[in-house]
Amino acid sequence: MKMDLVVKRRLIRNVLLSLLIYALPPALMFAWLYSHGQTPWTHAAAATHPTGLFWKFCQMMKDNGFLVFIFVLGLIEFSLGRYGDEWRGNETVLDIVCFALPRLVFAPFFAWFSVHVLPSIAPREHNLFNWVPFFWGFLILCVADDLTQYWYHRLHHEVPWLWRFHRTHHSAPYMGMSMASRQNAIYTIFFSQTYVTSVLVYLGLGPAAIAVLTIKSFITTLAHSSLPWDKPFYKYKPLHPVAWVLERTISTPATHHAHHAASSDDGVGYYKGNFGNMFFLWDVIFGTAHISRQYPKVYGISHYQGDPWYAQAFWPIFKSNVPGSELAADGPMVRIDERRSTVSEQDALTLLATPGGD
Amino acid sequence: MSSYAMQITDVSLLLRKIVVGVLVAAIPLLIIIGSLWLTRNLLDRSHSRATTTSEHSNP
Repeated sequence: MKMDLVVKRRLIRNVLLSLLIYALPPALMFAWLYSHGQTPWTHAAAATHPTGLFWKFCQMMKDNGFLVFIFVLGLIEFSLGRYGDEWRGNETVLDIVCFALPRLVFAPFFAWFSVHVLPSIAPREHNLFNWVPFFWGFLILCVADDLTQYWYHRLHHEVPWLWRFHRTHHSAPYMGMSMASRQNAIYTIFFSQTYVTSVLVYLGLGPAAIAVLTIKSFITTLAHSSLPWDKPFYKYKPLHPVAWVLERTISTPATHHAHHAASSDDGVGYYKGNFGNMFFLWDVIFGTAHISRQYPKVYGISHYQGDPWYAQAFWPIFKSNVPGSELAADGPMVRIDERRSTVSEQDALTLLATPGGD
Repeated sequence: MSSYAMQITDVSLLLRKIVVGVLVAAIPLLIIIGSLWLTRNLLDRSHSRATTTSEHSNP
């Protein structure tokens, strides 16, 4: 299955624009340092460590505080019955495995990469850029980490042969905090933004990375959560201007739930876009945004028949025993429902390049 | 061999996926590291030029 030409052209245009966006924070920092006549690397204490309440909060979140937060959030969601009847058996095991793997196996692996691999590749470059002021480091990392994740994510939707590595994240017929970590192991271990951030931390942007990852963890977890925290912003008129800014800047439950919808035909769901993780701004810039201020009625993949948890967690190492599944040994790369052929030609063209959903 | 086991096509798929991942990480890293390196070099050069000029004007 080949990628549609229209999608391909849009991808190339957007990639070129991204190159400029990556360079923007360092360019702005250069202009600021130049106009202020500053050369921060000449100071004795070049590294800037932030202080204050926000920094203490970030440290607390790094030291298991975030784990407590998601545990409490999960308990609230569960006690409110937000997972419905679907969260049982195979789905429960899959969610627990995907929640535990990154914390018990992948985190030590990424630590090993930072502590042993990077110093052996570039021993003299450690803390090379520790002179970058915290504010600018924060800005650089916001773009570096989240725009890279946007691209990693978008490519897994728009390049047909990459879709099956990301399918696990979309197969659940429900939403909740556990969805944020429900990923195929291969997808997670090769997360490009993890390596980008690790390298920038090694080069001296550690404090900024802690701040960015704290904020990002909250936004992405709350965007997947079944608690619609953004609803009051749409409901009360005085809050509409705040909602307008908020929904265009960061991922909210409304915009991200739309990405997890089973259908894109009802004007609410939009699995063909809304790829942003921390920032929704990327979708606005690249034309992949869909804002409806509503929540989809049905989540997941319409043709999902509960592939075994081990196949979803470790495909292609293990395969699904569900006949016709995209994860089965002889399954299709991207499965498209026949009834989709009744939609417009343009939609069908997009579908060829946009797997998932019905 | 069981059809559930990994095949050569799976290995090739994995390798292609890793290449995509490496590219998606390497491109932003090159841009950012290059920009930061350039920032320091350009500012150093401009700073040393300014210092030289002021030394010449104030002997």
